[in-house]
This record gives sequence, structure tokens and C-alpha cells, in this order.
Amino acid sequence: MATHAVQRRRLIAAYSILFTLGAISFSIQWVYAKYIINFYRTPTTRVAAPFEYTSGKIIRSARSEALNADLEIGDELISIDGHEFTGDAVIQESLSKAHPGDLLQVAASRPDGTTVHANVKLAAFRTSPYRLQDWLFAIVTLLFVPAVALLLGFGLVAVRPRDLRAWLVLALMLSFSQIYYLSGWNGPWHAFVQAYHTFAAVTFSIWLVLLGVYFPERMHWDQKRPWIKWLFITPVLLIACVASTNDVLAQNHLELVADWQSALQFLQKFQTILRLLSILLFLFILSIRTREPFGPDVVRRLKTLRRGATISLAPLFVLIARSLVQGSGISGLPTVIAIPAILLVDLLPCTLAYVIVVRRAMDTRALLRQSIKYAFARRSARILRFFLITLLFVTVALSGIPIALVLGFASIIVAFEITSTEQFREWMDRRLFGAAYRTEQTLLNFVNEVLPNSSFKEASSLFQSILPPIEEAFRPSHVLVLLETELGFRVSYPAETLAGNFPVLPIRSSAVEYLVECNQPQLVYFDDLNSWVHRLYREDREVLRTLKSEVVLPLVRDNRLLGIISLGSRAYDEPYSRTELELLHVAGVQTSLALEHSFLVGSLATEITERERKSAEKDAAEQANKTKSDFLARMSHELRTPLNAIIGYSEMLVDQAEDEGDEDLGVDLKKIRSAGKHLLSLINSILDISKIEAGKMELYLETFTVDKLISDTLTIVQPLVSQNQNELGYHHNHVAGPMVADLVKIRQILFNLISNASKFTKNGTITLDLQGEKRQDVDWVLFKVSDTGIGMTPEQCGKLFQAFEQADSSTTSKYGGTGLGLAISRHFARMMGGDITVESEFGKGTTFTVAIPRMVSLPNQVRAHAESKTKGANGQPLGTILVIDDDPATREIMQRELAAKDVRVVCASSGEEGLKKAREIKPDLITLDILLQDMDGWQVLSTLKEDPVLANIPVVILSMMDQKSKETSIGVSEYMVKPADRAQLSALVSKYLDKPGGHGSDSHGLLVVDDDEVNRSLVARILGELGWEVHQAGNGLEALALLSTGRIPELILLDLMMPEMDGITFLHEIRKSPQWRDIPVVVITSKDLTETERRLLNMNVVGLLEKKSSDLADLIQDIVGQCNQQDPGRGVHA
Amino acid sequence: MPKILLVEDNDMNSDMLSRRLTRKGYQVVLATDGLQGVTMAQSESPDLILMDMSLPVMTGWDATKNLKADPNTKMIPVIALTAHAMSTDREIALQAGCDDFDTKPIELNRLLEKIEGLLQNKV
Repeated sequence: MATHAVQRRRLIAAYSILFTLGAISFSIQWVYAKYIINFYRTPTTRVAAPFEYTSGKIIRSARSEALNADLEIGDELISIDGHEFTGDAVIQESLSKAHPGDLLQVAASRPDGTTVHANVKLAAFRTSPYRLQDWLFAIVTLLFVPAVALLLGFGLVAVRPRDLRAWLVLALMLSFSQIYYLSGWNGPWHAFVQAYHTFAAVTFSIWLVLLGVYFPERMHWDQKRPWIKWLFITPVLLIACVASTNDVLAQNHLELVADWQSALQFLQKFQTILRLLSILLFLFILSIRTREPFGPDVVRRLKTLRRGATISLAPLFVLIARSLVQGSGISGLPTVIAIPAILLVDLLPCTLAYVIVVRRAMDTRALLRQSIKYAFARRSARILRFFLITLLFVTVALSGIPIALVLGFASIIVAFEITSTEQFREWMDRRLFGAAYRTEQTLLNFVNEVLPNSSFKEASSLFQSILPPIEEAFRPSHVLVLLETELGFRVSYPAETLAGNFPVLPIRSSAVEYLVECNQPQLVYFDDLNSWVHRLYREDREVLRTLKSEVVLPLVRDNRLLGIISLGSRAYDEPYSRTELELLHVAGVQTSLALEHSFLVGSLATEITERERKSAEKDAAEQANKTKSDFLARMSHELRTPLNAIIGYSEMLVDQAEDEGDEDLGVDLKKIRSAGKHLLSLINSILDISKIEAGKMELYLETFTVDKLISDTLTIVQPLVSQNQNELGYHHNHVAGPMVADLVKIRQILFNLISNASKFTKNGTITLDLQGEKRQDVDWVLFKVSDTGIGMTPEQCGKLFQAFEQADSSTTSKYGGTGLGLAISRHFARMMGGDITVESEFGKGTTFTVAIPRMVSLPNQVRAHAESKTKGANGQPLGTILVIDDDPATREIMQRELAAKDVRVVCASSGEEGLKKAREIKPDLITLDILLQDMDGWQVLSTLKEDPVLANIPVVILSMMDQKSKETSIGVSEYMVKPADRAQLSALVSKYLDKPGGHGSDSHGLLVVDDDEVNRSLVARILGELGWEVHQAGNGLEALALLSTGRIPELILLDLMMPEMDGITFLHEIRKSPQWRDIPVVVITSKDLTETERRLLNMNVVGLLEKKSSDLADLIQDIVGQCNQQDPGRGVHA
Repeated sequence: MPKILLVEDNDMNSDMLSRRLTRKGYQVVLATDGLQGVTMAQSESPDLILMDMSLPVMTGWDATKNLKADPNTKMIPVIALTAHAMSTDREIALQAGCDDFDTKPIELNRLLEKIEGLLQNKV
């Protein structure tokens, strides 16, 4: 916390110093600028100084007006306008108020001792106003260069207040702003400004050398011997102090400085030499330091600075050297040379600011190439035009207005404008900026053609086709693809890198999180401490460092990172431009789509293989089971034939023995017979079970009375019950009456249950209890068989109905039996639509309840029922409708409403049943509820549409929509997949419309509705280029608003997924209005259509209806009618 | 004494049933395949026919159809003897024109009831 407070205090201090300095230097600059402008505006009304003097107040040179007033060179000045002459301030005071023609009273003493009083008639500074080039020169040197330097210097410190080097640059810039100076300046604050100027200009060398020492880090030798730099700095600083003191003193106390003027002049020269030296030293230090072992980014910064400094300081060096030799300023140079030279000098502050501020320094060559490449790419014609016009203006400015030259340029520009056609411009783009053009074209082609038109079934083929174009476009040192594995994201492509020992980026890492969130290509700049890279955990950062990534392109779908494409640095360390990153982003989106697709296909393939394997296994198992069942059935039959003989003969013999009165023989024969019958019942059970398993068990329904059933059963079971001294009770509870069921099977069930009960009960009671019940409007008969036997535990009850299981395996040995009886019984009961349940208490007894509907129906009864119901008035139904809906009320309504309209209605309550029935009856129309219990309505729809037999059956979707809609079609003319490409769009639009403007004045062009601005403007641009007037809307609401202004477009291109109002709702809205209804609509969708959209669009959905609509039936009848009209051959199915 | 034609290919079943019927006071004539059954029905003119369904040469189904098509034999009641209680077997038998059916193994008392009933109807 403390350090934080200190830091804040320092920051505040830094900003206060910055602010004060800024206030001082900018106000000086402001005063100075005002003076300069005034100076250049009033040369003819301002007076010229009539003479020059030395610091010993002796006239050194004189103009004609002074000589005319009897002053001579060598006179010593005493007073001016009555004031004693003490320094520059006195004469400037008089001159600043004077006008040409005024008299200046000068008193001077001749070397011979006489005093001269002269009235000098002052002359104008200039006889003619300044020319334009003089103005230009003054503005560039005295205003523009200082302004640039100050702005850059202060801006730099404002951005990097903690950076010592930024402060150094500011100091350098303050000096730099004073490099040019208007000699003879006598504006306000003269003494102070003069001193400031001198001090700043002299210290230039200090800052330059210090910057060389401290940039980018303090030099080694300076750390060891810091005093060396003071050898240079101290004399310069001394000179600066002396020179600025001299400037102040010269104002009013010329006599004080008079004595060391010659020394001062020498110091000035020495200072100039030091300045030249400092420039050389700076460049020398820079070139030494580029060889030091810095990182690539620092080296790039140093190189950039060295180049910039060399270019800018070279002319400065020449100018200073020239002034040293000739003793004059730069004003002697021709303007045409001087201005560019001075402008070049301005490169120094720019370069300094660049190398300190930018996140990532560029190689200057790359910088130049790229700025040309992207400023000029595709705009070469415009740039050329700009260049020509600038040249024209410069010429005019520098050399007056030569009419011929202006006309010549103008005619060249006009000729260029006329002759340069679109093709010519494109040709020029290609010729002049081929590299940039190619990069962009390659990427565009990649994004628009390669990806959308390929279907990638596996990731490897995908990357084989996308990596080469990326390499071709960027020429990076590497392109790596990291894909998700169990361990994390690891390098998977290109294949040869697999062997390499690359680190793995964990799935739950800060980098992955960041990339998913941003979902944009990211630059990896380690030198920039503000970069996202430095917000990552160190391990993640190290992974990126090891990969040598310069750009990472996340492949994200649905907030999940599928993979990462890593691009290395480019040749010449050329950075990735914003345009390229944007293109990369689009490529990334496409690639992630394709990648997801390939993953899906891959997992689908696996799933299919798995399913095939399972289904083969299942087939094999079924086959084996069937073989077993067949075998059992055959064996049982073979066993029964001899058994019949055994039972038959033993019965015959029993009869015979009874007739003959041989009782002993009769008892033995009866044992044979009973054993045979037992064996037969076992074999029958096995036969039943095998029939059940083979699916061959069938129901034979007959009508009988319950009384008959019970009396038959009781007769048969009576002997069994009495075997264990049990009593048999029977309660019927008035359930008598007719019943439709499989009599034999019910009898068998009851026989099984009662014989079981008597087997496990001794000296007890077995009760058959009959009850009637009404469940969901269906009459049921319940047969309850209770005993007072040994009972069962819950575990035993659980296994009871499984074939070959008894309550306890020990039971078998004790009580005998196959354990099949209950399994068979339950199956029989279920075949009849009923069931058997059991309640038991261990040791107390067991109750089995058999529930059978009083009117059992066969499984295919529904169909028969429907058929019987749907004969039309003329005996011929209009058509068949399959209603798939899980809501019984809806089914009921549809049945009633549609049957009344001579339409045959078949209902299905679940998706699966619906599909089964659709295959069975092949209806003319299917109405489908989207919200089904067992499967999604869309799933049913897609299954229907996958079946070649069913695919052509029109489907009406019943959905729970709120708004009332009478439309039977959502009216989409066509749809196409994003991203739209020119040829496709052109073909599509021309399919619906004539040439642009073909509809005369009432044509309102096309409307593009899409929330994705990139895509929308792309489409709009393409259509615009085709000559269409294009309107755009960001969502359905906007589009509606646009339509309601009365501009009816000729075609609407519509995206489906939009905020506020989506495409489907929009369609519904416009189909409601008679004036909008006929506008053709083409849906443009992204490749990742939602399931719903795809199905809606793909699947011949003729209608999307509201469930609550009261005249639903009418609508459906209409649809059936339409279908029949279209295809009379498939009116009615037999 | 009513005459019963028993058409049954299995020797043991045929022997057993014929002897038991004889004991109950019926005259029993035997045929071992469908074709023989049809010819014997014409030549012997029995009062009732017990017809097994699975027969060699001509199935019981075809034999019964032939019998019911012939005006001379169509009034003779036919009881089908089916192997087991499969509804399909019963349906086939009844469609062929059988007057009644019974399932094997034969329960003599039940069969006798059916025979008696048919013979009385005929009278």
C-alpha cells in the first residue's frame, strides 16, 4: 500500500512538472508565433535598425539613412531618443514604436572626442511584402517544427510518465523546438525568451548524448564509469549558462559583458562543434548498441531509431556545419532545398516517439513497405491523383502561379480521371502493389471459395487445404495447429511437427479462457507489458514463447475452443496488419465451422460403426434365439407325440382295468397317466415360452361369459387344490357378463396361478376373487388369486416373473416346476393389454392380481377402427391424414373435425408410433406436433424426410404459436448459405428480377436484412456493384420499419437469426400484409443453421400453423385439397 | 352302430383312439393319409370323420375341402384333430369346412361329447 501511495505521489509530481513545463514552453511558443506572424505581415510599415553595434557600443555597420544623418562607422553610441544607451533594450524600445519616416535622435561620440547629435530618418524594413515562399519557410522552420517537437515531447511523457527516456526525449524536444530562431527578434519578454532560447538550443547536445546512453537501457560503461559522460555534459552546460546570462545582460547592461565578447564568440563556436560532435556520438552509440545482445524487438527499435536519426540528423549536421564555416544561418539556402531539409529533421522526434511508444517495433523497411502496401493497396489511382494535386499546389506555392504549369497539371489530372477505368485501376493495383493485392486476394479467395465450397469429413484434410493458403498469404516462419487432446491443446498439424517436442496448453488454462472470450486473432507481443500475454499465467506464456507464436487464431464454436492456429513471425519481422487480422478472423470463423463439421462427421462415423456392430450383434443374438426357439418348438412336438401315446394308452388301460374291476392295476396305471400329464404340461410350458420368445404367440379373441370361464377353471383346478388339503373359495362380486378375450390363455393363467397357490399352501385357503373396475373409460376384469401359503420376500417377488426363475432355487427341489408358469402368464396377460401384479408377505401368503380389459382389442385394431370410421358420404374419403400428437384432446378434435369432412384420420400418440403408422398407411398428409413426449417433432420430421417413401408426404406442423396466422406457407423462395459470394448472389437475384432499374421509377431496389454487419455490407456491396439500389436493415423490426415507409423492395435477402425480431417472425409479419405478401424472399443463412431453421427450410414444410386456430380443420382440408390437385395419382391410398 | 372314419397317419395314435372308440361302441374304419381318407369316405360312407390335419399325400385341410365339395360326402360331419392349440390351426380347419375340432392329446370324454353332439344333429 505504501509503495502504491509513493507511486501515486510520484506520478502526481511528474504530471505537475510536466504541466508547468508545458505551460511555460507553450506560452513562449505562442508569444513567439504571434510575433513572427506580425513580423512577416508588416515588413513595409516596420522600421529597420539603422545600424549595428558591437558589445562595446561602437557602430559596426550602418545603413544609408544613418550615414546620411552624419553618423560614421566607429562612433560610440551615448544615447538614443534622450535615453542613455545601456543595451539592446534601449534601441529596441525606440524602434518598436517607430514608423518609416520617423526621426531617431542619436547622440554619439567620435573617436576624436567630439559628440555628434544626429536625427536619423528611419526607413522601412522592406520595400515590398514577403513572398509566399518566405512565409512558407518561416512557418515550417519557426512554427511547424517547434510545434511538432513540443507536441510529441509532451505527449510522450503524458503517455509514459514513469519512463525516464520519455523525459529525456521531452528535454531533447524542448531543445529541438529552439533550433531555429528568428535573428533580430525583439518581441515581448525579450530577455527571458532570448535566454530560454539560448539555453535550450545549447543543451541539445546534452540530451542527445544522454538519450544515446540511456536508450533502451543504461549503457554498461556508463554504469561502470558514470563520470565519462560528465566530461561532455559539463562544458556544454557551462557554455549554456554563460550564453544565456550574456543574453540577459546584453539587454540593459551591455558594458558588463563587453569585455568577454571575444571569449563568448569562441565559446559559441566551441558549442557548435560540440553539437556536431554530439550528433556523431549519438549515431555512433546507436550503432554500437544494435550489436548488443538485446531481444529482437529492442534491436528493431534501435535500428529504427538509428535509421530515423541518421536521416533526420544528417541535414541538420550539414546545416550546422555550414553555419560554422560561413558564420550564417540556414536562410542563405534556396527554399526548395531548405524546406525539405527542415522537414526531414522533423523525422527525429517522430522516430523517437515511435520507438518509445509503440507496443511492438517494426523493422523500418517493413514499416515503409507496409505503410505503402496498405495505404496504397487497392487505392493506387486515388493516391496518384492525390500526389498530382499536391505537386500542383507545391509548384504554385514555390514559384508563384505559372499559368501554363497549372493548366498542364490540371489537364493531366482530368485526362487521368477520364481514362482510368475500373479495369485499369485494378490492373494498376495489381502491378504496383502486387504483394498486398495477392495477400488479400489469397485470403479472400480462401474465405469465400475454398472453405464454403468444401466439405471436410476429417480434420486432417481440412488442415491440408487451409494451411497452404495461410502460408502463401502471410509467409510466416511457421503455421501450427493445436487441437484438443486429453492432455490439452497440443500441436497436431502439420504432420511432421507431431514428432517435435512442443509443450501442451492445458484445457483449463488462462490462455484458453482468454482466447474463448475474445474469439479474435491475438498478437503475441512479449515486449509490450500491457499485452494480454502478460495477464496470463507464466506457464501459459512460456508455452506461447516456446511456440514462437506471433499471432494466435482461436477456433471457437459455441464458447468452446476447438483449436488454435499459431502463426510465427514474418519475413523482415513484418507485423500483421489490422486488415490481415480481420481476414484471419473471418478465416478462423470459417475454419472452426469446418472443423466442428469434421468432428461431427467423425463422431457420426464412429457412431454409425458402433451402431452397425451393435445391430449385427443383435441380429446374431436374435438369430441364435430364434434357432433355439425353433429347436425347442420342434423338440416339444417330437416329445409330445410319444407322450400322447403314453397318456392315451394309460387312459385306455385305466378304463379297461376299471371295467374289469382290477383296482390294483388301475392305481398303477393312473400314476403312469398322471406322470405323463405332468411331463406334457412341462413340455407345453417350454413350447409356450419358446413361442413367446420367437414372437409366434398369437391371440385368439372370442366372446364368452365370465361365468363360463370361472366354472370351467374351477372344475379343472379342483383336484389340484384338494391335493394339499386346501379349500377353494370364490367371490364374483357381480362381474358376470360377456367378455372378449383369449379364453384359452386366461384359463391357462388362472390354472397356473391356482396350481401354484395350491403347491405352496398346505391346509389353507385359496381364494379366487373377481372384481370389475373402470380405468380411463375402459372396463377391466380383475382376477385375484390369494393363498395363505408360505409367501415371499420382496426380493423374491422381484424375480418372480422372469423365465426360468423361481422365488428361490431351492424351491425347485422342494416343490418342483419349471418356473415358467408365471412368466408365461404375465406375457399372456400383457398380450391382452393387461398385466399381473403380485403382493406378498413372507409366511403370510400371496395375492396375484390379473387385470384384463373386458374388451381386449388386437394391436392393429386402431387401423381397423379408423377405417371403419372414415368412409365418406360417397363412400370415398378425400384423403388420409395421419395426426401425430401426444395430446389426446387434440387428437380427439382432429378425429371429429376431419372425419366430418370425409377425411380418413389415423392418430398416433407418439413419434415412434407416428413413424410406424406413416410407413404402414402412407397418408396424404401428416400433421405433426412439435412437442412430443418420446421424441422431438423435428426428429420425427427429419426421419420422415429421410425415408424415400415418406419424403414426399407434405407435413403440417402444429405448434403452440401465440399469434394467429392464417398463412399456409411461410413463403421462402429460396435460401443460400453464408458467406454470400458474388457469382452466387448475382445468379440468385437475376433469377427473380430483371436488370437493375428495369422496373422504371417505381423500383425500390433490394433489401438486405442481416444483423451481421460484415456480411450485410458485403452482400450490399456486391449487389451495389451489380447495379442494384440496396437498402439494409439490422433486424426484422428495422426491416419492417423500412417497409412501412412505403418503399417496397423487389427482393428481400433475409438472415434468420437476428436480435429483436428474427427472420421467421419477420416472414410471418410481412406475409400478413397484402402489399408485402408478394415480395420474394431469399433466406441467407450462415452455415451453422440451427436444427430448426434447416428443417424448416429443407423439409417441404407446407405450413406452420397455430394449434389454437379455430378453423384448423378447414385449413388442413385446404391443404389436402391442394395436395390432391397437384398430384391426382396419390389421392387415396388403399 | 355309428361308423367313424379315423384319418390318422401315426400308427400308435390311430390304434389307441380306434380301440378306445370301439370300446365305447363305435365302428371304426381307418385311413392313413388324406387321399385314402377321401376315397374311404366315399366308399364306406361313415357317419362321422375324425381328421388329423397333418397328413401325408394329401393334408387334412385339402382332404376336408374335397369332402365338403363332393355332394355325396359333404353332409358327413368332420372333426379336425389339431396338433396343438394354435389359433391358426383352428382357423384353417374351420375354413376348410370342418364342423368341429379337438386338440391333441385327445381327452376322450371331451371328444366323445363332440362326436355325440354332431351325430345327434345329423339325425
